[in-house]
Formats: sequence, structure tokens, C-alpha cells
Amino acid sequence: MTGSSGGGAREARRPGAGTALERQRWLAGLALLLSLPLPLTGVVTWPVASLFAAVAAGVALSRRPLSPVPNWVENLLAPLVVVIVVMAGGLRFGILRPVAHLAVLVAAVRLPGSAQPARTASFAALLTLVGVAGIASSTHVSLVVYLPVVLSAVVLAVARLELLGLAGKLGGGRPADWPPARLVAAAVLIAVAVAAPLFGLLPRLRSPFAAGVMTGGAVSGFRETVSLNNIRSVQVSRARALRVVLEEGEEPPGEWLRLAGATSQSYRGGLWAQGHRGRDRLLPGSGGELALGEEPASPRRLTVTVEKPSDRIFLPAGATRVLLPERVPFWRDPQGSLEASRRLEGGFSYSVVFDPARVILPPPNAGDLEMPEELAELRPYAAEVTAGASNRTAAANLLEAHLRTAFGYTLEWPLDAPFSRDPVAWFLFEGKRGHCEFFASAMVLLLRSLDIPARLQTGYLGGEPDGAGGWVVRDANAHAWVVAYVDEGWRVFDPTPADGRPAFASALRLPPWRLTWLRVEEFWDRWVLTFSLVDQLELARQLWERAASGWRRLALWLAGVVVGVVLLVVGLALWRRRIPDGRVAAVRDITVRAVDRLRREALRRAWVGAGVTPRQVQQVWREHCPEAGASVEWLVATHEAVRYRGSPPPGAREVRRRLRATLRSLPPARASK
Amino acid sequence: MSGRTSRFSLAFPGFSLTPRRALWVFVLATPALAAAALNTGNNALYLLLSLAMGAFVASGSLSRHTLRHLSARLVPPAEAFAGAPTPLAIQVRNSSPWLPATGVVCRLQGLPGEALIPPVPARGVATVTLTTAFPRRGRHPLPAVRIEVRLPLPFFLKAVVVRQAGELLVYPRRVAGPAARWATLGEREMQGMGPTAVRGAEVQQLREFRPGDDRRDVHWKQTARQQRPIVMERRERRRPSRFLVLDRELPRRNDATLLARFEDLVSEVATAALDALRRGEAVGLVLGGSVVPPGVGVAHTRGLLERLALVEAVGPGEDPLPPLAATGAVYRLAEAR
Repeated sequence: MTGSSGGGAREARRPGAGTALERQRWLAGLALLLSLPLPLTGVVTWPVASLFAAVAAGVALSRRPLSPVPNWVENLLAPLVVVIVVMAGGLRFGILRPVAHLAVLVAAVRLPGSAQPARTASFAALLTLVGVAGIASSTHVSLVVYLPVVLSAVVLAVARLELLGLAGKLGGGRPADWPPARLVAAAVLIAVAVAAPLFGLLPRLRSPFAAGVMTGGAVSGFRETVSLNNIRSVQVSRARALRVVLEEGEEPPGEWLRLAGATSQSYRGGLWAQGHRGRDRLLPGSGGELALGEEPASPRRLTVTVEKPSDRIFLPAGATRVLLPERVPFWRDPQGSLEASRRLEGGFSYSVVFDPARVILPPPNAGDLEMPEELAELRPYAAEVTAGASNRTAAANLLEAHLRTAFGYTLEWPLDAPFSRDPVAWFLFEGKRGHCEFFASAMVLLLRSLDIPARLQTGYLGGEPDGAGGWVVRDANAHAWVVAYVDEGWRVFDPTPADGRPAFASALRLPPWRLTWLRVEEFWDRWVLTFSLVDQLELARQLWERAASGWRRLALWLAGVVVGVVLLVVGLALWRRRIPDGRVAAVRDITVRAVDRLRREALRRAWVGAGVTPRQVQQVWREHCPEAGASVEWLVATHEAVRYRGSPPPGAREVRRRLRATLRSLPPARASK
Repeated sequence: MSGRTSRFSLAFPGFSLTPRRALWVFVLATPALAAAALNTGNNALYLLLSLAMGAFVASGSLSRHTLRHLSARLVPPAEAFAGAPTPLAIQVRNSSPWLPATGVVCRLQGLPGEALIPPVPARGVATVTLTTAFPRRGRHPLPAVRIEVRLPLPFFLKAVVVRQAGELLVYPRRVAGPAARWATLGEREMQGMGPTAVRGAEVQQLREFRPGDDRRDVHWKQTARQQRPIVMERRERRRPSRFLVLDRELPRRNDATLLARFEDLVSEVATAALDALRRGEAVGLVLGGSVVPPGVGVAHTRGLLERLALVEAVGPGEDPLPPLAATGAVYRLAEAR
């Protein structure tokens, strides 16, 4: 990969080898910098990213320009690259991940020798592809720091290499010259200042997704339909799903932030299906109110904002009343889930009144005990686990505890899971590991095998404070759990082990810095990550409404803007007319103009005729306006010095000041006549 | 990284823009990035796109700022010969109050010569010397200086042309020619130039001052001692009569070949004069009807070179030579038949 040392030494002695070495180091350094987010975001696996980083580090530390890998070695490496891409998952996780793997591996092969001018462009293109893939799959707030750092490095590298190239071509300069820090800092600051409003103005025609899809794997997040065979690898996404605000100043128990979006009853071969049979159409009342149950004795209230387009209403288990923003018809299925008749745009809010002590669902029916025949083997297993349980509640508790302790949690779908085997049976008897949907599915079916009615619910659990009194619920908080009918009522069970249950962060226990950081993250999530067309339209609407609400203020505002623009234009014009120091020709013009102005004034007052020299102008001014003598003398002398002696020009401001002083000292034209 | 520049450039009031390869890469890559952002709705891509466009704006405004605050002043050399490498000093001034100028290249307009200017600090001056060559003798306006700025990002090469006040007299080309041809003038022509004898250095005797004596010959010590003006009487020397004679008359006017050959003649005369003057020999010059008496010294050398730098060919009979003692030693063009 690094070529022969003899050849490298010869190359190092060649003219321009210093430039090549420096270019090589910069390219390798940029490669290291750009590869940073790749493994963190999951678009490239750690082994591949580490391999790339190792090659980049080796090239960066090399003391001589490296030769490209010989063609025959590249040909040998090509199948190896393909094998690594396939081993890292191939096309199983979408197209982006293998493409990113391919780009990274090809970049690693082409990095040695990339400093050669003929190869730099192609390598830079590869590097750009790698960088874009890494940035596109990043969702962390640190991107705000990372992007300016990358821009600084790019500006520094490009400017430095440009200087080296110029010095090599033209001579002059010094090889040690670096672009000034002020230039780099100013470039980054201006770029960021321009980028901020541009980011807000660029049209969003698609709903934003924050992460996940670009990572090439499936994403954690709410799904109406649970399919145990298809989830594959799961990436934890920080995309915002909901924002929940409870009644003023209330710190909820973590369990209150369990919001169900779908309740499933029918299980077939790894798929929990939601039938449309028996659905009720509900039309909210005039205030958008939708009654779901009896009013509780001590009601609690929370407000939910759904951040992404959705047709689901996420409700706590004891929801009795929902206040919706508009009169959209809803479907309520026999399992108790609410679904809007059309997809609602992200950002809609609704309020829920609920009873935290109850789980309100339609009563159990035969469907809650349905079990596929091929899962008969679950009965003895469930009986064994629940042996000694005195009642249904105890049995359910035993099953919950057993699943939590005897099974492992993982986000990876095991590659050895056979498609011919039922996923729940495989999970219980062979795999012994899986994600929350496996645990919940297994518990529902085990409960049903004991004739306990049970359903699977999916939704969100937990969240973190947003620093502004609410809780942010992210895609990573998506979860599945169980509702079982025990002791004449529905009750929630969560068989997933603790390390697989989304966490609830209490605002009360957080230190102030953590709250501040949460506010930063909240801002980032709200105004960058999930910024959408809806936000753009909403901002425009608010601006319009504010403007329309007070036309006088609008008129004033517009007048202010017009005045500001006029002032800006005038200021800019004056600024542009300003004569920079050292521009001899331009300053000469202004001294000529100044003397000519004196001449015209003298002509207008009939002090002189046409065709006079500057000295004659000076003479007549001295005669007719003695108090201006010094200024006139200075102007004429300066004009002559600049024009004929090659003296350094004065500042334009000084010339103008003297001219103004001279003209002000003139008597009125009539009086002089 | 992207050093190549394209051939066409755009002229704006006060400066010109020449796109570079990085611009085309940017022009192609940015829409692709925009399409990706638009198609996926990925806000990280929007962020990257915004920053890329911001970097473009930043580069443009900073390079324009740098260019607007740069000025160049050419310092002409003490002497310049046509065709010979001539060092020219360029003073580059940066009037920006805060931004140093780096990667600035200065080129002479219409002449060879370019140089990378060392970093010019804010409100500072940097001087660099570049080597150029003037193709012809004669009076040349000082060449304009083209200031080029490329940084911080090389999307464009931005340039401004700063015109220079003043002009430069370029002496004739120095050539390795044949031996000099010397001529002498007749007695009458020499008399027209004033006394044929010059004041010698050797003192012959001391005598009392007479009206008409040169005051430089007053012997001040003896004058003080004797209380009357005493002068030194010097032995006179004959004025040397060695001339280089250039006939300005061409057989035909406005003939390019003859004019080119005339330039060669001027170069030969100038070279011969310089060689002799450097050896300390007195040299006179006859250019058509005008005669410069023989002399030595820096001022005389400069005078001869200036005349030779400005001499122009004329048509037949327009500027005849004075009578010469040795007519064969004239630098003259004659058509071979």
C-alpha cells in the first residue's frame, strides 16, 4: 500500500515533494475528520470505520509522499472489499449502508497516492461522499460544532495548499506561510451567519426525518403493525415523536408517560394484525371533545403534541376524554385505539383527561384468547413458569418476572433465526433474546395459553424533560407492552428487561447544567432536526398575522425598512466612493476634482475667465476670500505634489474636509457681486 | 487543490472574475446536495447545503474585501535596457483595518513578470521585486499592475488592474557586435561646439589674475599671501575628437525591414558607446545633424543613452550628417543592389 521505500525517497527528493507530502497529510487529516461520525451514526460499522481510520492515520503520519497502490494489488483488493461489504450486512439494511461501506473501503485503498494531482480530485470526491453520508445520518446536537470545525479544516487545507502551489509555481512567498487565522475565522463566521437564515428559508417539501433511514437499518419508532420477522437491526433514533406537558408544576411518575397508539389482538406467524372489523366512527363534539369513558374522581390532564405526521392519537391507559384541535372524524377499533380518518400533519396537539389508577379498554372478547395451533407448546411452558400461582394476577406477575430475568435484550435480529419457525416460539425456546416486541408478544401468547385475555399495545414509554416544563418523547422511546385482563380489570404488564425499557428522566433529579443542556437539545430537536414545511408556513403565518393585526405598526415597520434600506444604500455608496489609501490614480482624481471645484466656483463668481491654472485659482481665491487661503493653498499644493512629484496621496476624507471648509467660508454669491 | 483557471473571465466595475475549477465542482455538487436534501427531507443535509452556500458567500465577500483594500505601486528601476532582465519593485499596500492579505499575486500588464506577494498585514505594506524585460527602447509608460486574489476558497480568481503614474525611458538593447567604428569631425564643426582645447590638469605657472580667467584657477593661498588675485596657468589639452556617428536617414521611409535594421544599428552604437565609456574613453555622438561633444562620466553616459533611446529614423535628406573627417566610419543603412 505504501510503495517501495527507495521510490519514496527518490520522490521526496524531487522538487514539489514537500507540497505533495503536505497535500497527502491534509487529505488524510480530512479523511480522519470526516470519518468521525460514520460509526457513531451507524451508517458504517465499527470494524470498517476503524480500518479506514487506521489507513488514514498511517498516511497522515507518513514522512514521504506515498505512491498509489499498484493496479494488480487494487485488483486483488477489489473482491476483498466486496466480501467485507457483504459481511457487514450487504443490502439487508437498505442501499445507503453498503454504498457507504463501499465508499469508505475504496477511499481507504485510494488514500495512498491521493496526493498526486491526477488522483486528488477522484479521492476528494470519494471523501465528500463519505462525509455527506456521515453528516446526513447524524442527528446529535454536536453537529452544530462539527460542521464549522469541518469547514475550518477545509478552508485551512485549501488555502494552505493554494499558497504552497503558488509558491512552487511563482516563487516568492515563503513555504511556511499559512493562511491567517483571521481569514479562516471570518470565513467560517460569515458562512455560519449566512447559513442560519438560509436553513430556515430553504423549502421543505418532504417531511423531515431526523435519522435512521439514512443509517441503512430499520429505525426504532412507533409502528402500528408489529411484524417480528421484518424488523431486522434497529437503530436508536433521537427523532422527536411527541411532546407531553402535564398539568402545571406536576412531576409525573414515569408510568404516566406510557402512551399507547395501537392495541393489537390477532397474531399470525409473527404478525400482529389490526382488523378494521367492528370499528366505531366517532365525531368530536363542537369543542373537539371526544368522550371515551366515565369522568374519573381525580382527573389528571396532559397535552400531547405529535411532532410527525400521524393518524394515531397516543393515549395514556386511563384516558376518559380527549380534546382535539379540529373536528376530524375518528375510528375507534374494538381494542380501544383511536385512528383519525385522515393523516394529520405533524405538530398537532390535543389534550387528554385520564385516570392514572385505571386502564380503560373495551371488555375482553374471544379474540383476546386466540392462539395459533402451532404454538400449543407454549401451554406447558407457561404452566411450568406459573406453577404455584394462586390467581391470574400472580400468574401474570410470574410470567412478567420470568421473561425479564431469563431472557436477554438485543436490538439485533439474530441472523440464525429460521423463517420457517414462529418467531415467538423461536424466541422462547431457542433464541432467548430479542427486543421489546418479542417480550410483549411472548407474554401475550403465554397469558392466552393460560386462558387469561391479553392484548399487545405499542406506543411510547418514558421521555426526558425538555427544560421548559414538558417532556420530549423520541422515536427511541417507542415500546411494546402487554395489557392483560386480570382481577376483573385490565392491567399493564411490561416483560421487557430493564435495559430494554425506554427510560424516564425526572426533571427534579437533574442538575442545572443538565437542564440547560436539555434546553439546547430541545431547541436543536425542535428547530433544526424536525424543522419542516409546517414550521415554515407557521412562521410565515405568524409574521403575516402580526403584520395584519396592526396595519399602523406594519406601515411604520415598512417605513422603517425603507428608510433603513435607503440609509444602507447611501452609506454603501459613500463607503464605496471612499478612496482607499495608496490608490494614486483615484486620489489624483479627487484632488483634481477638488481644484476643479474651486475653479468652477471662481468662474461662477466671475473672478477668473476660462482656462486658468491651479496657481491662478489659488491667487484669485486668496484675493477674494482670504480666510480660505490656507485651505486653498493646501488643496492646490497637494494636487501638485501628487500630480507632479509622485508624493503619497492624502486621505480622501481630508481632501473633502478641506474643500468643504473652503466652500463654507465663501460669502454669498450676490453679495460678492 | 484546484489550481486551474478557465479561459473566460467576467468584467465588473473595478474588478474581474475568472472562474476556477473549484467553482464548477461547486456548481455541480450543490444542486446534487440540494436534490438529496429536498428528496429526503433530511435536515442535516439542509444544514450542509446551507453551510456550503454560506461558505461560497463568505469566500466571495472576503476575497472582494481583500481586493478592494489592496493597492500596488511600482518603483521604477534606475536604468533599463531593452531586452535585458530588469528588476522592478512593487509595493503592495493593504488598507484593510483587520484582514491580512495572503496569496496575492501581482502581474505586470503587457510585460512578463509575476510574483507571489508575501503576506501583507492589515494596514501594512509588503514589497517584492520581480524581473521583467522591456521589448523596445524608448519611452514606456510604467506598466499597470494586475493584483490577483484567490483565497480563502478558490472558486474565482479575482483581479484588479492598478494603473501606474509615470513613465520609464528604456535604453537601447545591448548587443555583442563588431568593433566600434569611430569617426572624427572637421575643424569647422568642432569649432561650432566651442573651444577645441580643454582645461588641463598640469599647472604651468602662477600669474596675476586677468579678466576672463576661470575663477576655478584662482590659487587661494598665494592670493591670500600676496594680497592680490593669483591664478594658476594650466597647460591646455586638445579636445578629443572621437565620435560614433549614426545616420538617421533611411533609403526609404516606413519600411519595416529597414526600421528593424535601424534598431540593430542603434543597439550597436549604444553598446559601443557604453563599452568605451566604461573604459574611461571620451565618446561623442553624432545623430543626424545633432552632435554631442565627446565626454566621459555618468551624466554624459546617461545623456548619450537617452538620446539613443529616443532617436528615430527619418526619410532621405531629412537630417543630413555634418562633414566628417572619416566618412567610412558611419553607422548607416544602405540598400544592396
